[in-house]
Amino acid sequence: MSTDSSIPTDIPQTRAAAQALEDKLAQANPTNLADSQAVCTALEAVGALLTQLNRQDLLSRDGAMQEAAAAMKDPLQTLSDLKDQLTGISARVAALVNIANDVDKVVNGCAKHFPV
Amino acid sequence: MRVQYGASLSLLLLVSGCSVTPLEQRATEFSTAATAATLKVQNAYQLVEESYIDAQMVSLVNNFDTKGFNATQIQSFMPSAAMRARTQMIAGLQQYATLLAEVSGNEPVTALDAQSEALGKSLQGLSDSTGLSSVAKSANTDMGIASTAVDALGRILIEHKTAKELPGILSQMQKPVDDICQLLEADIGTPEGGGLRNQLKVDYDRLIAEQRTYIYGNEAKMTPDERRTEIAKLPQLVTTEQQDDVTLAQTQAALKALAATNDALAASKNSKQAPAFRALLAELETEGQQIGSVYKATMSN
Repeated sequence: MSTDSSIPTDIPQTRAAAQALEDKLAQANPTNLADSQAVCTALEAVGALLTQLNRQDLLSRDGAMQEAAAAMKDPLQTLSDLKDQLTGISARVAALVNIANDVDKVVNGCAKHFPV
Repeated sequence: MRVQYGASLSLLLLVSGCSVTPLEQRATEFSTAATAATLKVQNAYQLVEESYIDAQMVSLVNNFDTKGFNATQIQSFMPSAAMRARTQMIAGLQQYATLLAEVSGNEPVTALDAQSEALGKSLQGLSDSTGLSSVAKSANTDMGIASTAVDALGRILIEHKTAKELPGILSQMQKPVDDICQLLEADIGTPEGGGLRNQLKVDYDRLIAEQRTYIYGNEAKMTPDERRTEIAKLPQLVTTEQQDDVTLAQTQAALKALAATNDALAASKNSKQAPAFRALLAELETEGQQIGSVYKATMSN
């Protein structure tokens, strides 16, 4: 469920939203195993999205868009699944403030521009 | 005495037919610097492939108990057709640099001709392949520009040139070399905006997060020394990421310098002195040396 109406309107905005989420997760400094695992998994998922966007840059648009969309399905699901857990961690890890909105932007942006 | 010696040397060079025009001399110097720089460009792709594989490896280790191992999970970052296109374009630039040196040397070199011809044909084949369209797309460049640049480079390598054609070769190759360098520069990208530099950042952020998770997951079983060693790897990862990003940025700068120096060389066709070319050549040589030393250090780690 979306908590922010500002869905990225194009691929560059989707990339910017994914990059902002990646930066936030990379700067989080979890201090126990459970939080660290959740941040790590979210980072892996958003990293997979950015990797697909980087690859998509390197490939021709028509065939690559379908490949990128298919490869984004699992990381998007992972991010959606982790949203509640990350929101819980944000109570302890200041860097993750407002993380739910950031996850929504990425998930909704990717869903809109890379139909999976 | 010194005047006599100088006059004798000039006479000797004239008699032996070894006179080299200023343009040929500059082309030879450019060739040496350009060859060194292009050799390093290939390493930029290798560097990011390694960080991408490393990130997948640490994730595999941390998640092995829950996810096991599936060979399809480990993939290379660059699709093979896209990598092949870039390898051929870099080889084409190297061969162009070699061609300039050989043409400037006044010597017909059969082996070089054969090598150039083979590479030229493969570049012409590349000019209409899907691999090249991916390069053009990544640089936000019209596919036609990329195709024309690669085709022109291929054509010049196939034709057998002589010294008197050097000015023509330089004019003809100015735009193709500019375009190819621009395509490769765009591949390297920026840390926040995409390309190899962004992928490097994403990979290292994952490596750091995975290392932290590994420490929390295993610290109860570690001796104080083992724990210290694992914790010390965190700042090492940060340092390596910074060094590698600097290397990629220097590779971009070298590509820019290569194109600019090639332009200045072409523009100096009718000049005896060429101060603008000299300044850019010095920059190209410096960039090439800097990248070389960093790649050497990185690859030996």
